[in-house]
Parts: sequence; structure tokens; C-alpha cells
Amino acid sequence: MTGNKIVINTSILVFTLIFNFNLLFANNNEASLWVENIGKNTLSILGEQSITNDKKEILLEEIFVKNLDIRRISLFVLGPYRKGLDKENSGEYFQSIENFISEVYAKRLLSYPSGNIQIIKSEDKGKRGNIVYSSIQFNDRPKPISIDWWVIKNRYGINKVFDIRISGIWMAQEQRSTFTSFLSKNDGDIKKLIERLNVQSR
Amino acid sequence: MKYFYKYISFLFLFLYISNSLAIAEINHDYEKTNRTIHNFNDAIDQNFLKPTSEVYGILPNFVETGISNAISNINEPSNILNYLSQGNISSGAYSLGRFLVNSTIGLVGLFDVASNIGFEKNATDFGKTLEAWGIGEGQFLVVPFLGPRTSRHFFGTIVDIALNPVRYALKDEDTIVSFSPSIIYALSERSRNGDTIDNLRETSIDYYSTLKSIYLQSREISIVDNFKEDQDIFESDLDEFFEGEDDGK
Repeated sequence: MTGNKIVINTSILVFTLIFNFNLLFANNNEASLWVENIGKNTLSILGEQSITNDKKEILLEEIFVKNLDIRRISLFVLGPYRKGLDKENSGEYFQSIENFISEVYAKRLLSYPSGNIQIIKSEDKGKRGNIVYSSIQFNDRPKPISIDWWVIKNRYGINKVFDIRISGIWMAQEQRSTFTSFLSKNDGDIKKLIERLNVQSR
Repeated sequence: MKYFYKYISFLFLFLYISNSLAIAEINHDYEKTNRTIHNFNDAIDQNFLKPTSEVYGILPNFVETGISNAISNINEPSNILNYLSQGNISSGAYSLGRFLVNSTIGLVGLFDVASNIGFEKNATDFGKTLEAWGIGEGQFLVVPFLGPRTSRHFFGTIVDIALNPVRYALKDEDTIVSFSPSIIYALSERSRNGDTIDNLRETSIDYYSTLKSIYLQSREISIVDNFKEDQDIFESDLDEFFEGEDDGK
């Protein structure tokens, strides 16, 4: 009887470990494939010869709006000033930052040509999602550039990019530093930040 | 050697006076002064460096790359000394190997043969040596012509300049000649990163803070090599963020 219990308990333990390991691997793999797909789409737009840079910028912005976790980024970049975001101005703020972030990221990317993305590995960060490490060999550069993607699921279980690290620099972290500096000089007034964002993304 | 000892004495005197030796974290006490110097540097960049680097950029790519490689090779002895001072013997030997290969087969460093045979460039500086010796970052500064630096990195830069063999070779020349390698290096870097710099300047709502964040992230990441420790840089901010998150949309 005791022997049977040991066998049953061991089987349950082994099954649980295998199931969780597979689930973990599946999540990592899913995030990697998702990132690879976004990377390929983005690079194919950058390499498209038949469209103008303005059109490329619009297409890149669409990719960012669709795949960035704008809400999390919006809150993150406010730092301690997030407390000053009330219902009255939150809608306008989210819209302004969506325009601003997608435009900034698209403009920064436009200076790159097409290339090939290679997924290096994916690291599970528990509730904070996955970090997918990739390497992009742009066509005009002798060496590949490392680009890491912080992928997190939203409340609907859909993958979103929370942050991107290009050659060692996290973009959302950089924006946070800039936004909090602006707010500290303007008494934490989020309305002034919205005005500034709207001017910048015009 | 007289110049070297003068620099070293200056360095430690300055470190002592600035009381930075025991400060573990970066301080940001000089923001007003930093912003003024940042504006000065930006004016130099826009009115001198940018237009001159655009002219420099007309040079064929292989010429630009050759010049950049040669300057990088000149700095390799400084890398060797710094790695050895950090107790990192293997990286010191690696840099020595790169220097020997590029100085000989690479024709005085014009060709980066070492990278082509698998010995990728691996740079360090005296700021990192000071870090290995347990000296704190000190203050965040913006230095005229050099840009963002922590005080530790700034002192390190002074020593690295003192250690640079070209400085000794050109010490009896006119000022313009003795500074020419630094000027060419600045033009080369501005030319290679021109699009990125212009883009950052255009898209940032506070250019000073953007450069500061990029500088601090790049220093931290190049000092802390593995991801786990790198993650800790952001850990407190993220805890604060995720704890109170209103999960919507």
C-alpha cells in the first residue's frame, strides 16, 4: 500500500514537473516566435524599395501601436508622477503618448536598412514576462546589433512589447528619465506634458 | 613619465577634494551647471562638429574605417594596462594579442585583422579600473567637449589621456598637431553616429535627460556584464510600478 502511494506521488510529481517545464518552454518559445514575426515584418518594411520614407514611417507606427503595451509604458514613464494622473486627463494622456511613442520609435528605426533577425534565446521572468534576445544583421553594417525585447502579456493574454533594448539601451527607461525630468521642472503638471507631447508628435 | 605622474597626482588630489571616494551611488547635484555645459556642447556640436563631420563623411567608407581602426588600435595599450590593473589578466592578454596582430598584419592598425579572425574589440577604461578598486561613481557631470561623465569616469578619462602613447609622441608639437588625433576621433564618431544623434535630438522632449539616461545605462551595462545584475538597475522602479498597477485596457 505504502509502495503504491510512493509510486502514485512520484508519478504526480514527475507529471507536474514535465507539464510545467513544457508550459514554461512553450511560453518562451511562443514569445520568441512572436518577436521573430514582428522583427521580420519590420525589416521587410525597412527594406521595401517601392514605398517612400513617409509611408514606411506610417507602417512602422501601425506595428508599434498594435504590438507595444502602450498602457503599461504610459504609466511606467511617469515614474512617481503617475499619482497625478486622474480620470479627467488619463484618456488624453494615453492617446498623446500612443502618438508620441509610436512616432519616436518609428523615426528612430527609419535610419536602419533591411536585414535579418536571429533569435538568440528567451528568458522567463515569471509575472514580468519574457526577455527575448535577438541579433539583427542590418544590410549596411559589418556587425550585427543586439536587440532585446521585453514581452509581457496583457490582461487578455495577448503578447505585447513592454520595452526594447537596442545596443544596451532600454527605450522605455530612457523615456522615463526624460518624462520625469520634464515633470519635475513643471511641478508634476501632466497637462503640460500632454501639450509638449502633442507639439512633439505633430 | 613626468607628465604621467603629474596627471596621477592631479587625479588623486581631485578625488580627495571632491569627496567622491566613498560615494557608492551617482549624485545629481549639479544639474543647473550640467545643463549650461550641455547647451554649450550642443552648440559646438551643431555649429562645428556636425558640419565638419559631414565634410569628413564624404571620405570613402574604407578610409573612414581605416582611420577609426587606427585610432582604436592606438588606445589598445591603454586597454591592456587597465585590464591588468583590474586584475583581469585574460582580457589584458586578449587586448595585447589584438594590438600585436593589428599593429603588424593590420598595417599599424589601419585594418582590424584581429576582429576578422575572431578577436572582437573589447574596450575598457580607467573609470572601470577605479570601479574595480571599489571607488564610487561620484557625481553626474557634463564636461565641456567630452559630454556626460560620472566624476569617476571623468578622472578615468584624464588618466587614459595621460596613458595614451600618442600624447607622448606629439607632446613637443604645436597644440593643433598634438590635439589632432582627438579631433579626428571626434569627427569620426560624429560622422558614424550622425543619424542617431540628430534623431535623438529631434525626438526627445528633454535632450539633456535623454543623453544622461543613455550614458548612465551604457556605463552600467558595460560594467555589469550579466543580465541578472543588469535587471536590478530597474528593479525598484518596476516594483513600484507593478504593485499599484490598475490592470485595464
